[in-house]
Amino acid sequence: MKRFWYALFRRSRVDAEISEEIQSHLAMRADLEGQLGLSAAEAQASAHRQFGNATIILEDTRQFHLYPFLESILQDLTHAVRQLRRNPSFSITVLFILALGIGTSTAVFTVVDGVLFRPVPYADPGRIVAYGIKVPFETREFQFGYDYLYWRGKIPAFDALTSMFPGDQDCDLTEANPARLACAHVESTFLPFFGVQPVIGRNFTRDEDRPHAPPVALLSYNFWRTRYGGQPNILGLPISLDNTPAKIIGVLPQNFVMPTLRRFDVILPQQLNEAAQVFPNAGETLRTFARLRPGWTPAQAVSALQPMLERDISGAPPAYRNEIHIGVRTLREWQNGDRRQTSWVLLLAVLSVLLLACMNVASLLLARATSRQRELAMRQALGASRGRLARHAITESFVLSLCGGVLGCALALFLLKMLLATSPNSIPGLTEVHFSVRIFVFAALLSLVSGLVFGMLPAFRQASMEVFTGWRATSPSRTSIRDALVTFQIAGSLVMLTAAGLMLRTLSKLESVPLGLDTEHVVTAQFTLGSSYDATRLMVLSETLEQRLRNRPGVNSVTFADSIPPGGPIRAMPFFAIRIPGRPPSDQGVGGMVPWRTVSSDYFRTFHVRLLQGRAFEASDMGTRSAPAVVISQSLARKLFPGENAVGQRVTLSESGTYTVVGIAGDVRNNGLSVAPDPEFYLDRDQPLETLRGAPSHHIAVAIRSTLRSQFLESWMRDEIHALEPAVPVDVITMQDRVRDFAVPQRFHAILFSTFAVITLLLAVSGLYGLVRFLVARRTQEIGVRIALGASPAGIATMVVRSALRFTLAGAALGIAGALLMSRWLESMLYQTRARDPLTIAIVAALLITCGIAAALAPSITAARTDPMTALRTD
Amino acid sequence: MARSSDTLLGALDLLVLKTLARGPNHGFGIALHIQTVSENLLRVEEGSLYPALHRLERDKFVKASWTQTENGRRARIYKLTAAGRQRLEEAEINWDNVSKGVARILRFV
Repeated sequence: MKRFWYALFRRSRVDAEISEEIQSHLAMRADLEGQLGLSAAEAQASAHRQFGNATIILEDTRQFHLYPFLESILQDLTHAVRQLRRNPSFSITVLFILALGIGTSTAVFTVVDGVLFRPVPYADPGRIVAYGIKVPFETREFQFGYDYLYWRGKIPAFDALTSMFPGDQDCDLTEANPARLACAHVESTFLPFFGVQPVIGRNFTRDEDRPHAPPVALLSYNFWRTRYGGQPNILGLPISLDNTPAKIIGVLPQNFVMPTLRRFDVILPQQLNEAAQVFPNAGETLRTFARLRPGWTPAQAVSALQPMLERDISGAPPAYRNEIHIGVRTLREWQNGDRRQTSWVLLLAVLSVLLLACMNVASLLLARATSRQRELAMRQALGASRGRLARHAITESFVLSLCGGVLGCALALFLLKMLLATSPNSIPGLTEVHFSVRIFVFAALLSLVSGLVFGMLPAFRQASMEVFTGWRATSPSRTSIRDALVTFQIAGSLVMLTAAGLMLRTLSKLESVPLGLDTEHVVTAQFTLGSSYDATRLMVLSETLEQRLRNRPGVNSVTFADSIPPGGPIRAMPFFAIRIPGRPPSDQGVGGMVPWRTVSSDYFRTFHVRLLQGRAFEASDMGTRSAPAVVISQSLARKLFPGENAVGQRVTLSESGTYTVVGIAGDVRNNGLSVAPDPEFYLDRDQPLETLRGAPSHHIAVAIRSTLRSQFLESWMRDEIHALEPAVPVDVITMQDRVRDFAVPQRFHAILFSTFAVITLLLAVSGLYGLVRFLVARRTQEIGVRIALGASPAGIATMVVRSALRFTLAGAALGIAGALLMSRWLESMLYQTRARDPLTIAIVAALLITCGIAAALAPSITAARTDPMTALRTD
Repeated sequence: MARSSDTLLGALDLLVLKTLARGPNHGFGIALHIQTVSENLLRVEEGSLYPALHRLERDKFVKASWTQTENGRRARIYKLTAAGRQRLEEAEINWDNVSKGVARILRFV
C-alpha cells in the first residue's frame, strides 16, 4: 500500500533519487578519469560514454519502484484530462448531457427506491404476506375475528400469524400539554412476528393482551424523543390516553415502521375479546399477516385457503359468495400496490433517457474521433498499439462519465429539493432529501455503466491508415453507426413524447372531470376534536361557530358536514343492506358500497350540488322522529327505485331506522377524481341522533361560500375556529386547491414525462443536426462539383433536408412501434385516455418531423451556399 | 512482473552480490571492482548495473542508504542483507552447475 501512494505521488522523487545516484556515479568516474590525466571536459565525456544512455537507464530503473500498470493508467488519466481541457466546448456539452441524464435518473431513483428496492426493516421480510378475504367494499385483505381465530394453526402454508386493528385510530393524550396521537392496536404476537425488539423495555405479554387487562403502552422512538426528551428511565411511568392511565413498558426502535406505513405514536394491545368472536364472517375485522413456510408461494397459499373460506361462507347466498375472494400478497406488494408498476415505469423511462443521452455522447465522441483521425493514425504509426489507443478512449469516457456523475448528483439534489418545495405531498414516503449511500452507489454505478456504454463504440472504431490516402477520409461503417445512433435517439424521443402527451391528456381529462359541485368561492376547514367532547358539547360548538361565520360580511352560506367530497374520510354501507319496506331484499349480491355523509341543511346550497327533485333538509324535518329525512343521489334513486318517483318513498338504512326520501341530489364525485362516483345518501346533521349515525363524529368539516378573496376567508376561518378551540390543529384549504390535490400523482407524472420528452427531443434534434452538418462537411467537394455542374442552391438544400428526413422518418417509424409496444405499461397511469391514442401519436410524430426538418435547415443553407471553387480547392 | 531467476540472466546479479559480500559499496565501486577483478574481461556498460541493483533492492537482497564518501561525495551505498547472502550461496551453486554443464557440452561437441 505504501508503494502505491509512493507510485502515485512520489514519482518525481523516485526519479530525482535515481538521477542523483547516476550523477554521483558519473562524478566519481570523472574524478577517476581526471586522475588519469584527462581534462575536465574529456573526463566528463568519457564518464558518460562508459555509463551508457542515462535516460534509458533511469526508465529501466524506475520501474522497480512503481506499478507499471498504475503508472500507465495515471498517464492515461493525465492524457484524458489534457485532451478534454483542450476542447472545452466539447467537454462542457458532453458533461451537460451526462449530468442531465445521470441527475434525472438519480432523482427518480431516490423517489422510487423506497417503493421498489429499499428493504423492509423486518426479519426475513420476503416471507411475510398479508392475507385474508377481499370483498367489494374492502379491497385490502382482512379477516373477521372468528375466522382468524378458527383458521389459526390450521393453515399449512403459514408458520406464524399475527393481527392488528385496521384503520387509523386517533387517541388523545389527556395530561399536561394534551395532544392528538396516532395509536395502533396490535396483537401480542405482532412485534415478535416482525422480528422487532423494543430498544428499551419489553413487548406486552399475552395476558396483557386479554380484555380488561391493566393497560400498557409501547412508545414510538420519535414520540419518546419529542415528548420525553429520550430519557431512559421512563419504564413504568403512567401515560393517560383517552382519560385511561396506561403504564409505559417500552420504546420501539428508531427504524421501526408499521407494516401499514402509517404514522404511529403509541402501540397498545388490541385486547381482542376472543370469546365474543363466535360467528363466521362476523365480529371484529382484523388486518392479518402471516409468514409463509419455506417453499410456499402466495399463489399456493391462496389455493390452500380456498376450501377453508368455502366452508365458512357455505351458508351465504351464491350472489354474495361469488364476491368474496382469498387474497395473499407479499408485504411489499400489499404496501405499495399499483405504485410498484408506476415506479417501474418511471425508473425505466428515466433510464431510457440516460441511454439516449449516452447515445448522444457516443455520437459526439465518434464525431470527434473522426476529426482526430489524423492525430490517431499518426500516433498509431509512431508505435502506439491499438489496445493502448482504445484504452485512451475508454479512460477519457470514464473521466467524462465520472465528472458527469458528480454534476448529476448535484443536479439530482437540486431537482429533488425543488420538487419537494413545490409539491410536498407528491411523493409518498419522501419527506426530506438526504443522500444515502444507496443513492450515491446508484449514481456511481450509473456513471460507470454509461461511461462504458458511450465509450465502447469510439474505442473500437479507431482510425486506420486510410486517412492519409486523401479523398476517402471516412470509412462508411462509422457513419452508419452514427446513423443508427441518431435514428434510435429520434425513436426514443418519439416514445417519450408520446408518453408525455398521454400523461398531459390524462391530467387535462382529470382536471375537467365534472365533479357535480362548484369548487369556486368555497373554502373548507376540517378539524378533529378530542374524545372528551360529548354530543351536546359538539352541538354547542358547531352552533356557535356557524353563528360567528354567518355574521361575517360577504358570507353567503355556511355548512357543516362530517366529510367533504371528493373523497373522505367517509362512511359507507354495502348496497344490499339498504332495504325498501314491503319489498323483498335485492338479490344482486353485495352491490357495491354506498357512502353517506351527515350534512347540515345548507350543504347543497354551499357546494352548489343540484337538487334534481324534492328539497333539502328543513327545520320541519326535526319533528318527524318516526321517519327522519334522507336525501339520496340520483344514481342511488335509479338503483333503488328504477322507473319510479323516489321522493316520498321510505327506505330502511339500518336495523331499526326507516327514512323518508325528501330529495334527490345530483351525483357527486365521492371516490377521488379518477373513479366513477358511487351512489350516495345524505343524512341531516341537525336531526336528533338515530341508530345509523350512532355517536356524532368528532371530525368536523366546515365549508363557506363567499365571493370574497379566498385568503381573507382562509384566515377568517382559522381565526374563528381558534377563538373557540385554541389548541386544535385546523386544516384550511380552498375547494379548488383541494380538488387540485387529488390530481397530484398525475401532475407529477405529466411534469416528469414532459421533462423527459423535452430532454430527449433536444438530444435527438442536436444529434440529427450534428450528423447532418457532418455529412454536409464531408460532402463539400461533392456538393461543389454538383454546383459547378449547375445544381441549383434550392436543389442542394432539398437534397440535404431529404437526407435528414430519412433518419427522422426511420426514427419516427421505429418510435411509433416502440410507443405501441410500451403502451401496455402506461395503461395503469392513464385516465380516460387510450394508451394507443392515435391522435397523440400523430401530433407527436408531426412535431418530431418538423423538428427534424428544422434541425437540417441550417446545414442545408450552408450546403446551398457552398462556393464550388473553395470546395474543390480544399485538400 | 516475473522475478528473473533465470540461470543465465542471473550472472550480473551474481557478480553484484559477490562484490557486495566483501562489504558495502556504491554502484560505481561495484562496477570498478568487477572491472578490475575480471581484469577488464567483463566490461559491462556501467549504467546497466543500476536496474539490477534496484531490482535486488526491491527483492530485499540488498539494502541501500545515502552516505558521504571519503572524498566528500554523496553516494548510495548498498549492503548485503541476510536474504541476499542466502541468495548469493544459491546463485554460486547454480552458477557452478551451469558452467560445469556448459563446459561439458563444449567438450562433448
